[in-house]
Amino acid sequence: MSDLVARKLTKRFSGTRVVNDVNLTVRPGEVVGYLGPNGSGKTTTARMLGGLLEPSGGVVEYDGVDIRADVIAFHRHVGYVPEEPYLYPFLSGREYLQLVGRLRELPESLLTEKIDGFLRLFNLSVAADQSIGSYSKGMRQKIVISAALLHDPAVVIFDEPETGLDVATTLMLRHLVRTLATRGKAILYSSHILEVVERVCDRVIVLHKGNVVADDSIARLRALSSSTSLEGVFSQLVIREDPESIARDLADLAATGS
Amino acid sequence: MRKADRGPYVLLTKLFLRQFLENDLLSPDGDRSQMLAIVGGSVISLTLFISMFTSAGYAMSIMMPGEAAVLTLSDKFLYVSLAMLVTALVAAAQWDALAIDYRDAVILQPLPIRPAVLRFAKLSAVAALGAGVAIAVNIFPAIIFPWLLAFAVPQMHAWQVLQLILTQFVITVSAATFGFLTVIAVREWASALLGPNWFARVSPWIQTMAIVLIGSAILLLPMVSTRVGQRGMSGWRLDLPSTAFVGVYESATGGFLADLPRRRMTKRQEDRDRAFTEIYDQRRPMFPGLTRRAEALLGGVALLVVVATALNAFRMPSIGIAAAQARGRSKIAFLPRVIFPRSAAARAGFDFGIAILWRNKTHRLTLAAAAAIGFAMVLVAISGVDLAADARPTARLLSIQPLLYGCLLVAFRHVLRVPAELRANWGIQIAWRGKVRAFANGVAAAALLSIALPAILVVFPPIAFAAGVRFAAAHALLGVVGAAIVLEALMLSFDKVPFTCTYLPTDNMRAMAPIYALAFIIGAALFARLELAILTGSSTMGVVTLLAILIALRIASVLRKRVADIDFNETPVSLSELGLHS
Repeated sequence: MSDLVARKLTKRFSGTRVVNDVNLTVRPGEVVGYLGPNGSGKTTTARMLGGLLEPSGGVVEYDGVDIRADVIAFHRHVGYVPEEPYLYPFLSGREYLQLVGRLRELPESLLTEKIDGFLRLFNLSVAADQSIGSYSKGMRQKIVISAALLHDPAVVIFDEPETGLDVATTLMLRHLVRTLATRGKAILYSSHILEVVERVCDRVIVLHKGNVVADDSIARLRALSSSTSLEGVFSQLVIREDPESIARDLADLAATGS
Repeated sequence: MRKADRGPYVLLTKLFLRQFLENDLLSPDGDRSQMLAIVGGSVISLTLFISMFTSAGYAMSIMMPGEAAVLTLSDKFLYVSLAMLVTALVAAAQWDALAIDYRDAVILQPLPIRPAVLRFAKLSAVAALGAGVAIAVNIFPAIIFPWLLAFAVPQMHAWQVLQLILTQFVITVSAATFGFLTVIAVREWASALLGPNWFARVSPWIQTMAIVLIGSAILLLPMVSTRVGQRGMSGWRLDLPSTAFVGVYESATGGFLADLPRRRMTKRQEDRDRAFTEIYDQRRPMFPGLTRRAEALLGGVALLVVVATALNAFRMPSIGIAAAQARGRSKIAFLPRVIFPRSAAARAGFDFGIAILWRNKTHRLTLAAAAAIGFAMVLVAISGVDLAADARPTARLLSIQPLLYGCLLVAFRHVLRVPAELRANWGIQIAWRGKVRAFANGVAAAALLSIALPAILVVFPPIAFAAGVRFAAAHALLGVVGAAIVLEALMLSFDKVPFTCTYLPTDNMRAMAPIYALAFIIGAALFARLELAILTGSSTMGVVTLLAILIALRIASVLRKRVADIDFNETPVSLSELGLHS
């Protein structure tokens, strides 16, 4: 098992820096939380770490080697759960998993066994042969998670995986992430649900406007900012406006004219 | 309609009309103004070209009234049929958007709007689309044809030219309405009779069949519409709806062209005019009957649409669409394991290829258009063949098979470059292990099985009828070898991951297309001659030649160096040059 390391990772879109000199390390057995408000560059970083997006600057290394040297080899070790579960709508859930498993060259009998297992455990057996186009977002998310874990990857990147999932599946997902970590997987868990990050992650990286503003264990961050919760830490680091006053203004605006 | 419903009704109608343009007629991510300009420009230039091309002869000749009355029947038949078929084709292409679909229901159902208003707005938008297309397609021919005809028949008064313009416009728009309503009637009745679940399963196939039929009919139209007046309105031509609308045309104008005063004519011109006038006078009594038929057809199809729409609305009081469709496991799931026991990537390519070619709308419709071209070529080729039982097989008869599968395989080569769902390609990208050749082999096998083989089977019956079952079976076998050769040749230069990478248009396609088309027709004809030589026993070398070509292509494919790193999100050169891509 090896570390996933990002050094001075930068991404520019049409000249605008979306991610700026991000350094991070995800070690085997560790769950690293990646926090930040909307538009802070979390998804862009996750895509670069997954080898799906070319960085404008910096490198991503796995096992001490730049992943660009052999992206295909790197992808053998990675499972990726994107924020938006875009899938082929004309395939069924089973067919999609079969496609991914065959591309990853898993033995046919093992693949069938794994697909049946994932579909059963995610309560998707009934819908397994329906078109993904008819799936809810949560169902698609379950397919994406299954596809990410099908080949037993050493590194798993979760980019806001709880989107669209029901309460029971969200709880199960938290346990799954912890279980994977105890089995030695290196996990990056990007989210803006602070409670989940607080319960699941060993370490937290906070991103604001593309820059890393904190990188430490939750306990140390709490101590440093004299807060009792991660929410307090997060508020101090990235929230500039008073949320209560904005909420009041929004409610007033909604009531205007009625 | 209640006063409170008017605002939502207008907004929804506009929304549905925009949807036709932005989501259904055009690409979902396309620029509306640019695409509208392209579509509008294409329609105008095409109709201008057709009307100028067919009517230019009138401006350069003087015609006798009787001659003009008979010869213009062909043009009237062409314009009426074209209006009918093009509008029907637009309706077929918009198939899913002709009724409230799942997407509309999900977005609009939570809003406080009565379902009846939603349905009425959708109907209005569909009607507006039909009217817009009908007018756009017919406006230029309606002006140009009578105007140029006036040069050939100078006896016509200005008001008669105007009458001809108005009649042409009204009749062709009515014919277009008939075409549009026919497609809606088919869709609504299929939905009413099959119910939501079965309709969801069968609907894509009805749409594909409709496009194949209408497309073939459009391509055959120039051939069918020549010498309509002289050949007589009898047989199968008399049964065509277009003929009925031509009858209305002639009834509306009272056949005044034939009755125009004669100018001074030579003896030869007099004879010619008399002969044509006699022909027209023989047709004249048919026009009232044809008019009644056209009225019945238009009224009947309108009634069918109203009844089916009402039936569907009554059966489904809520606009919510049926939930997920269970497809059941594929009946051919075992096939990839049998064909490619050792290559998982090839199995993946096979299944992915079959799913895309049969289920993905864009790819299916492109193949349907290719099938339409193929069937048109087949009908042209077969029209001069003696199809009587025990007739000697000819190269022309045998050419129908390579023409059909060739058209489909060329279209397949094109759709290989079109991503099935660009936003979903990350899934393949991250699971990719670089087995391009194996994956492409799987996709090619899927094409052979799901495109070439059905095409070979479709043309089997006429060949079996004309030349016997054994001969047809041997010909079908040779067809499979031929299709495999075509596939190998087409796949030789393909370096991307099929259906996955960004679509990059070919820059010189417009210049090269005529050359490719000519090469294709010559290739099909030569292949048919070779097949004939093999099947009639005079060339055993033919089989060897075919197999040698196949093996050579296979070796070339294996030896050919491939691009090591596939760029799934390659940027078009124009975007890179403009600096619009990071």
